[in-house]
Amino acid sequence: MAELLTGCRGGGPAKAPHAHAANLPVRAARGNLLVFGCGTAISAALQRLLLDPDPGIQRLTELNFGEVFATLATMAVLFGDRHVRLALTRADRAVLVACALTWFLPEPHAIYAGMTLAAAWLLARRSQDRVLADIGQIWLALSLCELWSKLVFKLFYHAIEPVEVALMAWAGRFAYPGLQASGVYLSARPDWSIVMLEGCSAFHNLSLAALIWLCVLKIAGRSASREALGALAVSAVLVVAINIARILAMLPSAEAYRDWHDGPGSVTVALVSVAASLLPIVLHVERTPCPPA
Amino acid sequence: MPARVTRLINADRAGLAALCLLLAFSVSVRVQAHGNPVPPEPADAAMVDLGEGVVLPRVGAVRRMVWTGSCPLPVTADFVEPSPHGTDTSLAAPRDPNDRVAYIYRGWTLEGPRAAMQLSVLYVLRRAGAVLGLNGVATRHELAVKLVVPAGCDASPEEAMAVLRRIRG
Repeated sequence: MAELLTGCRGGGPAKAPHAHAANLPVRAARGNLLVFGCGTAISAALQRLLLDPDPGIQRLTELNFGEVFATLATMAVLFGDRHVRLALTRADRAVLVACALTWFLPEPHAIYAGMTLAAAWLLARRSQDRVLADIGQIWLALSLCELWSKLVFKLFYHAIEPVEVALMAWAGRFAYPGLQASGVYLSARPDWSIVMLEGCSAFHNLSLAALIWLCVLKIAGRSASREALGALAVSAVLVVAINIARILAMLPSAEAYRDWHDGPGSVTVALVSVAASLLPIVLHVERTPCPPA
Repeated sequence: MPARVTRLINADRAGLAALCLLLAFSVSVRVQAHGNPVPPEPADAAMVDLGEGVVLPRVGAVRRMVWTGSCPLPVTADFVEPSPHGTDTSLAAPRDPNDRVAYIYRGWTLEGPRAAMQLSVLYVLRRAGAVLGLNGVATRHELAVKLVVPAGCDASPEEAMAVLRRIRG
């Protein structure tokens, strides 16, 4: 992807041969960060693929996209700038190895607790190093998407869900004039209704959209400008609209529910949501020239 | 090559080797767990513990209305997944914002605004203990009882649980 985007990272002159020896510690430090980032994603993916009896196709699609983007962004940050002088301290290495112990946890979500701690360490103690701060931001966004967003949503469920259901009911009445909304129940027929649980909310999709937005910015070497935030807002509106359309598509019948909740429809929605998260920020990056160095 | 550079290389290589070993070991553990047939869950893992030796078959873990002597309205008893990422099928707009919610889990009674968080922490600690072999089997599929006590009702969670144990069938 780094080649597809108009990148503003690195691009300086190649180093002289005598610089090779001085580059060795930089390469080893990059290896530490890359193995930690990839190892966390691999551990979580293996846990879902091998040990979870039924993670759901849509959840698998969404989660794997988040991990793929975060891994690409980590690699772009680590290897995109030939001038970077990356050096890890003894404490950095100890934190990475200690946080890697979460790879053995038996829950795919909990594996990201270690990445959260590593990200917090990099952002709190190494924020003066641009590369480490970028890596910390990517890891924190991935941890939020994979681990913390659903927990936060549970805390604020009673505040968020009525607003979301009211929005769905308002939009749904254009397609189903007789749509009834009662509490967290939506019904377009007397004999069929759906209940809005935490998985139905667009909240998780928004955290994935934010992660993809951040990853594209890091891959392209751009900062979060006002225009970039506008692209994120466009993605957020699109993601919420897609989720509302998906929920409304479940209303006609039990067959429609199965298709859009667990079947091919749910995968289509996941892919379209990722595209909606990706396109606005990619268009912004392609249309905006690199800032002067 | 300067000595400081050599020290950096060795330290980073040692960190890299440690991370690679941890990754290889964790992957092999997962692949091995996948390759071995999963042992059947113990009988009590498929039951809901209501306390005082009373258990409920999982198939019977559906919403129940519990009438206590002290309240004009019933206490709602739901069976929810205690995992932080489990689905709480009882989630719905409360009938009254002053309703009290209590979770009963493994002998613990959790009340107050942080009860859901406390339930998640207890579950995670129990799972971690099970993984480390400190407290028996890892009970991934167990359920907690969630009581919604109507506003104005003074019934305690223990009182509602006592009634629930009697009507479990």
